[in-house]
Amino acid sequence: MADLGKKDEAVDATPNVTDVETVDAATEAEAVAAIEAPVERGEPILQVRNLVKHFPLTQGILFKKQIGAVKAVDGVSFDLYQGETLGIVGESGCGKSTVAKLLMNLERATAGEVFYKGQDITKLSGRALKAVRRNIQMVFQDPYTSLNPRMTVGDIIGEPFDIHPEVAPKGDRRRKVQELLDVVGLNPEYINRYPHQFSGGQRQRIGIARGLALNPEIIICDEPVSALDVSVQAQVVNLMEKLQDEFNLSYVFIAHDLSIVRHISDRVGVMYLGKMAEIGTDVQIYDHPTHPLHPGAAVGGPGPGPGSPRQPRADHPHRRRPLAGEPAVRLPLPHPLLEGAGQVLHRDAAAGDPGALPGPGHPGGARIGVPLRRGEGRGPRVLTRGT
Amino acid sequence: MLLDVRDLEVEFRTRDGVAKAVNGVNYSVEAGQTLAVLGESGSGKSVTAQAVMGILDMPPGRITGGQILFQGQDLLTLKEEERRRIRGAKMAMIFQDALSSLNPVLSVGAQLGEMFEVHRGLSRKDARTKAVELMDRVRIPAAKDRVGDYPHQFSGGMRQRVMIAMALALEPDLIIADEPTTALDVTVQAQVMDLLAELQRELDMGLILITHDLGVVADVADKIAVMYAGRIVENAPVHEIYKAPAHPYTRGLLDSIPRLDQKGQELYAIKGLPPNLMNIPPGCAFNPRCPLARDMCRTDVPPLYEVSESRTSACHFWQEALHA
Repeated sequence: MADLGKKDEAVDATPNVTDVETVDAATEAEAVAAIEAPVERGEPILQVRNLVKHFPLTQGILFKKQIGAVKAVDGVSFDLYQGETLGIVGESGCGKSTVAKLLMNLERATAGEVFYKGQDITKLSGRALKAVRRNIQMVFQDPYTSLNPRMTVGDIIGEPFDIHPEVAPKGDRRRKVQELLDVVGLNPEYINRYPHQFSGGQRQRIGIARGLALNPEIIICDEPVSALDVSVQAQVVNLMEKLQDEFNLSYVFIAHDLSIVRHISDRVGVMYLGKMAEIGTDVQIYDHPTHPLHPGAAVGGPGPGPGSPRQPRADHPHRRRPLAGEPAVRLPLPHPLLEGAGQVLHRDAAAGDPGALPGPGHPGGARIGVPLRRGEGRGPRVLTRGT
Repeated sequence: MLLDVRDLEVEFRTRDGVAKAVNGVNYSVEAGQTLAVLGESGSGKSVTAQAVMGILDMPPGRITGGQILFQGQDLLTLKEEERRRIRGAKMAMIFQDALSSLNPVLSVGAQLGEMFEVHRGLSRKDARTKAVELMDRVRIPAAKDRVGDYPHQFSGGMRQRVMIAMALALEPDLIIADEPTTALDVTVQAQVMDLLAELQRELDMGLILITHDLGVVADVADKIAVMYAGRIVENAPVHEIYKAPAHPYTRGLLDSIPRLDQKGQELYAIKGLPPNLMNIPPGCAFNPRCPLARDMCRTDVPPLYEVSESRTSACHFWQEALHA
């Protein structure tokens, strides 16, 4: 592992991945039955294999020509076990939110598979896909924009029942919604209120209640507490842990706050430039990182960190060590210095020396020091009228 | 004393009533010192800073009391014309969201240079040279080539560096940074904080760092003022506050950060919600959420008790809080 930084396989190493027992369902009914089957605690419930999502970059208006692709997710594999919390961390732009969308099949994967109970959901459609989506729900980051301001709380939480009426018959819905409000710690009498009448933390509880409405097995949480104040963050994290025990949920918990992720997760995966750089138990990841991103990321998180609470100041061993440079860009830019960006983080892992980080004129340092020529690589070039 | 804010009070008159955003804030900064102002959203930390800078929206805002002494002079008695001469030249501000604080249709160089043209009367060409120097100073690589670039061509961290450069342009004596790293990735956060701390040392400026993140300030601040519902509830040197907070609110904030030895346990959470500023609870504003609250807390507003020479706490039972 000491020789990271050249051309390394370590970056897309995917340990802890078991074989997938696929289920071949001949008919839709069989597929649905397989999806509804229970999974034992500790067994893999979601298995992701070599997941790839490339967003094409095109040029021209009439005759669209693909000139490249943003490799948002570029070969990610992992398992999610029933009842566990898998944390996924990474900087913005590393592809973690795209992974979340792919797991829900909200984005069509370019390549790769997502097996839910042995069925590849990227190939499902119709009733089977609907059944999968019932069992995999999502909680979003921003409680201000993910709730429709014109709908009452009752309508927001009850909307999933319109799509899946089998979960709650019409006459029963109001009671169901009130139950859900109670479960997430809100007053059931708030059912007719609108989102703006709630604080950020309360709104996130509404988002969680909506995610719980259909009794899902997996909840994908995309930065669920990032927008909240510190004191409220703790309340929401506690609630999520309580619900996990109560409803036997599996979580994929995406965040960039390492201390929160460590607290809630059984295992943590670290993403960098569309790949899963490393995955393991929290102790493996935080205390014995093998990927060069980590020493920076783990301790780069500011402050009274794990193990050294309330011990600020320069002389203590957990003082954060900033990673120099910025995440490389994944656009296939026509610039020699950017070749290889998106594959390798150039850093002397053995030395763990921040000084050896990508800097100007260093590949992988991508943008830094590279005066991009105007009009180059800043997104698709589009012909405008008159040219 | 570089800046001394005394009993500052600010309120906002809205259709629904009067929101008391700042209710008697006292803090001070000396040259070369870093004060971190800590608090949740709505605690009044940004409003206080805006009042100091003189960029508070008035109306609906109104400064109803107190003094802001800057280098011995009460800023609140100055005319707008005089304040404008101080703003930028003697005190400057760095905002949270660099993308919306920079003008998208002007190049970064033009925006940096403008400072020199307006305040120093330099020609456009000289101003541009100065802009390149500034960009070098905040370590924007290839400054010469990037001076003509527009804000959207920079990454978040680089944009925040541009903001810092702009604040530094006229070498002010005081810089107020309002959540300078909140919008940035953790790895970039550390870079920006280090840069800010280094420049401050170099130029011997006073720095007020506004944040809600306890982690960010631990490394760089000299002292911390914790705000709650428009008041300072605790004022202390940074070491002491992390070691033993003297206010139950500060303790709550520190305890709600997940720690290694508590993994698998429930996180400590301050119960309840921050108060509505139009209807602040009588007595100590924190009493409905406070584990130590007693009858006295519901009736008497706690004064700032002196905990030690350099430390104050607005809690009737600070001794208990300290030893909890």
